Amino acid sequence: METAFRTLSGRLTDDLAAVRAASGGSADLLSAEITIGGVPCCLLTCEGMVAGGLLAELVTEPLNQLGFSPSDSAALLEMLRTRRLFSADSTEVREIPALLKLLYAGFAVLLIDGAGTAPAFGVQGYASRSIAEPSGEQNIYGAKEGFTEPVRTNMSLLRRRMKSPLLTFELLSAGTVSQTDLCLCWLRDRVPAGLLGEIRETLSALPLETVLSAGYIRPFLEHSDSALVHSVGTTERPDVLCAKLLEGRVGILIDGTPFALVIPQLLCETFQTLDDYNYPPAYATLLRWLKYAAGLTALLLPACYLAVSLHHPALMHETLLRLLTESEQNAPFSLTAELLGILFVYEILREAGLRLPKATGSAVGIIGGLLIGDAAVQSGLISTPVLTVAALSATSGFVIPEHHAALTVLRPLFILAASAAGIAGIAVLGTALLCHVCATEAFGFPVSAPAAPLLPRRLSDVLARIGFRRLSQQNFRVSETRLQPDDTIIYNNNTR
Amino acid sequence: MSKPHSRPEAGWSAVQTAAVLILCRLAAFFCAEQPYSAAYAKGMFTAAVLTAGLLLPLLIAPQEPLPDALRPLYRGFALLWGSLTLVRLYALLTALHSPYPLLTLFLLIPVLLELQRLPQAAAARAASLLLFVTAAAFLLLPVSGIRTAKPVFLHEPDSAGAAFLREFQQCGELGLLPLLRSRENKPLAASRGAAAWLTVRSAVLPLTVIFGTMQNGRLLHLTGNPFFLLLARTPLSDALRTDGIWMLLAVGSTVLCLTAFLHFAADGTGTRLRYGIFLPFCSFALLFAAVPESASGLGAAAVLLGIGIPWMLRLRSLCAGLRGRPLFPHRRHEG
Repeated sequence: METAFRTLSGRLTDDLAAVRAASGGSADLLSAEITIGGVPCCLLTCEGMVAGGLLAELVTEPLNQLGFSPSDSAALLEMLRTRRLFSADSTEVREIPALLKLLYAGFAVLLIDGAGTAPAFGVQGYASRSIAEPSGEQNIYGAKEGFTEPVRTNMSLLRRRMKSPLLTFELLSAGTVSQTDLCLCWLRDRVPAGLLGEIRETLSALPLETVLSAGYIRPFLEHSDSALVHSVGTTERPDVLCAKLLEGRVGILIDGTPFALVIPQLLCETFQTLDDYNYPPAYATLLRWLKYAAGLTALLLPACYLAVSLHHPALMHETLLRLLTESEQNAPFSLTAELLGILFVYEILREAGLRLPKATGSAVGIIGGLLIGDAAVQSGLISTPVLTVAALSATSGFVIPEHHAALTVLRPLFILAASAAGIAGIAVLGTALLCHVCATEAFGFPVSAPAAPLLPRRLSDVLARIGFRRLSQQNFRVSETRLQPDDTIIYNNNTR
Repeated sequence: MSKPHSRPEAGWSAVQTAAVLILCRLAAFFCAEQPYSAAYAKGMFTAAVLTAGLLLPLLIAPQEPLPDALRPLYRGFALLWGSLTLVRLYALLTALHSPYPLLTLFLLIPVLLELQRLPQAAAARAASLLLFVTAAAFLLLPVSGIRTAKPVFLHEPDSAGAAFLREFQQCGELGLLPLLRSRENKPLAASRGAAAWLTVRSAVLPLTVIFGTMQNGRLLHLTGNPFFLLLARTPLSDALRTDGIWMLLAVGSTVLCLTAFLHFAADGTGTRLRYGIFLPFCSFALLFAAVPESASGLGAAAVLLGIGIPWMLRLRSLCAGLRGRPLFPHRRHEG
């Protein structure tokens, strides 16, 4: 790998050969040898990474229209530096690895015979998906724009919404092989002290060869690999990320993925949507509580049903008990097996519907929901109450899609605990889960805040959705939730 | 690979301190089998007031540093009280007709081992969350049953003296208070938390016992967990059957209490000892289950560790201060 550390020699043929050798003779490396004012040059580009129109408009045509003949390469280089504005995004390189990195990032590089420095012009333009509505975070009143794959497009989506000079972007790269562009974004006046440094430190130490999606980086930013609740959030929406940045969080845009990472994330935020802030406060508060109830239903309803039916029938009303007994008496399987089985089938159907094309996916839903479910009940394989409980639990889980993975893992565990030890089993496992959630934190921000550690003033946007007048006065900053070693809570000066 | 952003563990806030102390007391309260009566409430109240009277001067004054030599004593007490709590949990599960109580305990041991791995602050945060839920449930109790409460049952005969002594048999967290205050890097938070715990002990619990007595005084001579008998007698609970939710809370509080005691038992020790304490923990639990009388001295130990030793340390410090000070300071100038 001698070439990897070589600098440009100034001899065009040697440099061209060295660049080609360093690229391994890659087919997408294009070179066009030209003479400018008598000086032999070579314009290097990467196929598919530059916009043809931009290249012609900003580089080729201006070079062809040069009004004088430079005496040598140094004069040509000086003229390119001072006389003409080729591209706002231009730089110069001396090392071959840096040159290749720029080439593969969509720059056009001009090798000049006799110059040990090569000017590079930013003329990026590659085929990408256009901006579309986010698929997983749909809103009624919010913008219909979601992040897309190119990181620079995503940066522009943020900048359009936040023109303040305090919004700062910093480009980094991650992945030893892929060298994926990452973009840290934050608001300079409100990001917690030290947080940026810690994030940079973590990202620079990533032991990854490639970063293909947000999920590659997220575990390294979180406190624990086994956490069931994420302390680093994701969003597909630029407006949501703007709101998070305003609260002092740090965002990470990743080239090639339409998801941005948000650091830190609090558990209560996973029950909130942008639409909550478009509805009247009373309705939004009701919706919020509905989501909390849905979360508990999704997690605990099958286990509670099992515990009460199997071990604590005295807790049920007499009529309900009679109804359930009649339904269950002809079922061939135990209640536990029935519940686990139906949830297993539900997960299979969900996965099948998710990976298939949309048209086929809906057919899977119909087959699963109507045919299999109905047939299973009709044939007596499973009882109607069990199917109802499983369906209610699954439907409630859709209200909080962020927690789908955790719910899928925890539901069977709670069912087994309830089957073995009744309500006490649920309590034991529930307490362990509560402790686990309370132990989850990223960069000193516990996800359980502002409930634990308690910040009473901040509960007003957790237990309810207060009006915008009060909300704008409160000026929540995420730094308030950060734990210091001596447990001091940092408050903003303007809210104290 | 250690995380580059791992940081030292944060201290406990006043709410978290209060939550751990109160939940430990509530765990014992939920597990208690003594039927409710007015004398029970009276004895409980007197004991709580006496404790508060003895503790408040200590809480107001700056915490005396706990000598390192005494720490193993406190840790040993935490382990013993944890074992006793495990036995009490078994009794609670049996009283509530929970299926396979022994299996539940076997399920509990790996859970406790896992919780031992987590930072202490996690248990404290979880306790503060659970405390809010429990407080809301406690508020609902009088609302649901105030109409059917009958003061006539307050005249049922019982011994206030026995209840007074029993109260000290149930407050193991008292023995942990000096350890908690000395490890807190915010002593004011620890004192505030302890004050909240004293308030709950002297006000909320006796009132609950009185309310329970008015609800189910007739059931004084029936066996069963008195708190759940109280629930069974409140009309709203009868219609909606909230006993299940209370079972969740009672068992949850006890598990958190066990976690806290085990954390204190292994406080400041290495990983091996943190898990190694489970052997004596289970052994003592077996001993207390087989010979209940062997745990009778733990109440006195709690009082000694929680009140006696801190007072001795305080007095020693005062005496040392007096010895160092001249009796007639003005004569120094004369001489």
